[in-house]
Amino acid sequence: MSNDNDPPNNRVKFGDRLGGPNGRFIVFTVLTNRDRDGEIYQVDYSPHDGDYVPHKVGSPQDDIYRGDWKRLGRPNTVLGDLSKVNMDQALLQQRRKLEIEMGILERKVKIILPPGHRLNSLASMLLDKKNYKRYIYPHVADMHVEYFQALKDGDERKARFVVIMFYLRVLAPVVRAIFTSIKTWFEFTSK
Amino acid sequence: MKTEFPTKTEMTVLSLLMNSPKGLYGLQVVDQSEGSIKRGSVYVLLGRLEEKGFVSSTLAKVDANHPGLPRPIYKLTAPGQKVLQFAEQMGMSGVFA
Repeated sequence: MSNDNDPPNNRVKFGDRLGGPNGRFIVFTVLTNRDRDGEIYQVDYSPHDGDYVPHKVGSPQDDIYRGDWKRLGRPNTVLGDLSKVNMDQALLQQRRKLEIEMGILERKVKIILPPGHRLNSLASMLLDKKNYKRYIYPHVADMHVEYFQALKDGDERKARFVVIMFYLRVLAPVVRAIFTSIKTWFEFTSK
Repeated sequence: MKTEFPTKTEMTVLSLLMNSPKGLYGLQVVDQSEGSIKRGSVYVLLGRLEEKGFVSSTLAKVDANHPGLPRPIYKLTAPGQKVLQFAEQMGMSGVFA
């Protein structure tokens, strides 16, 4: 029994509907970025889950798919009443699920703030305006120029070096002042 | 208000700003001073000169190619120019050339 949806080159691709004894099988082939042609999933509607549940049944290289298109997975699997389902939406939904399950799509959004932003924010709150404008802000601005220029040139080592030198330049006087204050206090109390 | 006369290093900064009517960034002052002004002290110097009224600062316009914080630009003010002219008349220009 032939099916109008059979691909002409006998290769299974995403969304193909293969005919089976019940004529109601939908194939989801997920073309991965790995060196394989993909995988074949048979999707069964699960009344318990209220959703489509994919089961991996093979790959397009398997003989079963090169030859007889009529046999697919378990022929006695029923997909449910397809007439009541928006198949395009179901296809998209399942493809999305499969892709995410297979780790093809990794949604990672990373917001990177420029270096020194925390120190800049903290200093703007703790220091008075005069000292902030004199000791912190211009050094942060200069560091940003050199840092982004180094990144633009593709020199990550130089960019890291710029950040390290910035912290040394800004924090060294503060540390020195703290030690001097402690030393002065000891000298004063020892008299 | 009594304004102190600029020190030798401060006069060096003023003379560098005199040669740049559009103003200079702090790093440019360090570069043009050829090592006489250190990066760690340039903004302290410029801050003191600004307090004395010889220099004014504005923030540069944000550039689309520069994603960081806007940098301050320092320009010579009219009193700053007068101080330099006075120093030149007094024969002090060779001190900070």
